Amino acid sequence: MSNKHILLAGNPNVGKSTVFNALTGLNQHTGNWVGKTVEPAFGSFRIKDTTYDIYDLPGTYSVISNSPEEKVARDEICFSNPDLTVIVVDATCLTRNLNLVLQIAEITDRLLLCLNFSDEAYKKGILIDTEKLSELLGLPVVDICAKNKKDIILLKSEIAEKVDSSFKPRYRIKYPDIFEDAIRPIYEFIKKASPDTPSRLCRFIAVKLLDYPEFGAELASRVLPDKWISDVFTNLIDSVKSDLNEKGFSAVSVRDAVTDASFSSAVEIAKKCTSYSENHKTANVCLADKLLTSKITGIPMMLVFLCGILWLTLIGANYPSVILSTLFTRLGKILTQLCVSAGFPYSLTSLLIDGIYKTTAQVTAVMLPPMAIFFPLFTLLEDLGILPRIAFNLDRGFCRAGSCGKQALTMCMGLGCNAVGVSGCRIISSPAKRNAAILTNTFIPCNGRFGMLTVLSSIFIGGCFSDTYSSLVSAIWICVLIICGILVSLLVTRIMTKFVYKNNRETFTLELPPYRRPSIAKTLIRSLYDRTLHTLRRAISVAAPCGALIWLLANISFNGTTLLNICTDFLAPAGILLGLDGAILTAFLLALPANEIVLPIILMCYVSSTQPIDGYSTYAITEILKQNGWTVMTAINVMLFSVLHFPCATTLKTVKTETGSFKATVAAFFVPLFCGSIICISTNLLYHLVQLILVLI
Amino acid sequence: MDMNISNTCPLSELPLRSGAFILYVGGDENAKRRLAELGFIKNTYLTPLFSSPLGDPRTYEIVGTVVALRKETADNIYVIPTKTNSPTEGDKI
Repeated sequence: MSNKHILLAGNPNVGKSTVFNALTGLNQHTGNWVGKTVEPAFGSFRIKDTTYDIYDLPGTYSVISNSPEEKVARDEICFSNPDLTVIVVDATCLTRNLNLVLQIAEITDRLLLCLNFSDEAYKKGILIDTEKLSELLGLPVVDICAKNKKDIILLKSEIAEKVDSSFKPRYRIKYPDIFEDAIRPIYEFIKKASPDTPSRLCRFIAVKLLDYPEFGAELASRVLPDKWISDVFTNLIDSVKSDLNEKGFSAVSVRDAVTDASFSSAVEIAKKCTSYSENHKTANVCLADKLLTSKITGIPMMLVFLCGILWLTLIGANYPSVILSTLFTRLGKILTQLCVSAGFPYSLTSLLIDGIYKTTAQVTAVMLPPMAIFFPLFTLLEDLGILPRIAFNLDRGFCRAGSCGKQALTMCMGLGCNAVGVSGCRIISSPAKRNAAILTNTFIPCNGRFGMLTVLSSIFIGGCFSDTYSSLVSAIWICVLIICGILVSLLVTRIMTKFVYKNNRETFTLELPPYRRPSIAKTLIRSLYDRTLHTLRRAISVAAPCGALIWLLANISFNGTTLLNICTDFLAPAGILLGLDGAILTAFLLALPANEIVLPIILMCYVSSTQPIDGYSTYAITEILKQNGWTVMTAINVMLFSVLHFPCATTLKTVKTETGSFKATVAAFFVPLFCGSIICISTNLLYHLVQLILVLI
Repeated sequence: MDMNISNTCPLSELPLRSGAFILYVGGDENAKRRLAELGFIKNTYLTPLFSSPLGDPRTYEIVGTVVALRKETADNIYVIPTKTNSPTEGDKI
């Protein structure tokens, strides 16, 4: 019984995750999306007595620079001592993929090339001579189609075989002679200081010390014993650098030369083993691209797509929600009976069921369906190649806000669930833009808030019109609210990218991968399994304690008034300033675990009930609200505040996980609160001003 | 390969569906590196394919892939337009 350590590397969009899933099946740990894979996804398969542990590295175009993904990939390859690194290579764009292969080959000898999509390449008229490729690189090459089961078995046996064999790759990137001369003394120094480090890694570190001194030094410090990192070492590097400088190689031109050498080698090898049949066409725009991106059809198709998502969020997700909440209500009754028969005192039963269980159940019922729909849907669309096209189409608009087209996608996800939207921000590669997108996602009203928005707008906005128009008017009003949310979101993004994240000059590049048929079943299972359950667990972990808190506030009295009432009175002045009242503000604060319980808590405060009120008819709600002094203006302010206030606890927790920063999480709470307060105060003042003028006239 | 060396132009001005070789990639270092990883280095052949409905960004076919760049980026890349159509992938001058 032994364990082998295998790394899986490759460019983005080369079917790496398909290979990973095919190799490991469901036998894997949660992997992260593109972007911040702080910890690579991990899975395993077994052949006979050996377990092969596969680590899926983030998809990168290179491993030489210092972006977080590349750092993770590079550190794993350099220091995790892999038995084998499998590089997945897309046959349709061999040159660019080989660039990465050559870079990785600079670090380690133990490589296996896995040539994917050669069937697709063949259809495009590109023929790749696998043997020649293997010979030129001096590396084993397996030609597979990742969707084909037989090929995966072949790949497995190839991995098993190569893990134990020795490697002698023939290829090595040739740098200009002057540079080769410069590398040599540094290489020799490192090799002498740390004889156990593989020669290739020593050479790689020597190169990095010259082209990226900062992380070259970091790499060196991990390899060299402390006593060797001395003045002698620094002086050696300095003298080599000044020597290069004299010969006309500045720091920048060294980097250029390294990038150039690696890419030219890739071009050369690819050229030698690629031939083209008469099918080969370049500059060929397929019909789907023509339709999706043309001036006439592009925007309408985007709109249809967005409407589809909106429909799924507003209506589609509600069916499973209703079913779930019915199930949870039944389960609740059973649990109550169990508690009673177990002899629990009444207050404990009430705390457990009315407090903790009901809040948790409500959060789950509302959050699970959109999550279960959105995660797989977005993964599918991404695999299919549609998402990058949408980002491409919408980029211009978002560019003005200092962001990029991908933010449109995260906003769409936000309509379903802000926590989903926030984790979706991983698709944005620039850290500054990603942070701005994360912080502004909450301005997009999520599914949990739509419930209250529709009820209030049908009562207070639609209710002002005759029956024929009321539903239309209230629908239009909701659209206005969403648009208002989007505008504020863009405005805040603009302000942030301009003033907060100033060093935001990252070049926008977006690869549009070919349309590919995704493996639907696998994607469904995977996203349900990892992402959905993962996020849900997070939601429940915050909902339960908050549920208990609400119950305690409503049930503990102090001098005859419940804590809840004390709260309401305390918040009343602030509430009135915002055009709301104390009960409403209390409700927003207490509904931190989930926005869907805002209205139930408001009602709970008004009728002094001991638990959130749910399932009242619209008529009953209208009566209660009007008796408590609600006007159209109160409703408008509540709706505005609902769109523009702090995100729910699950979203905040997701912000914390995604950004890893406490500061960002605090900002995610206060920035929206600040915006919402300002807008509500101004509408409130405006309203009173207009009223005053009308009275005076 | 016959080509007209005299007229270089920024990549952003290269008409759709016409081929060119990259002469020079400008911009800051990070930009240059990112572009190089995607194949935007000297002597590489590329073709602008289509632009987004709002005109910017545009896509370019380069080393067998399709990559979208904004105008501000493409302004910094200089190319030599060529009359020969579609040389094979990664061909050099």
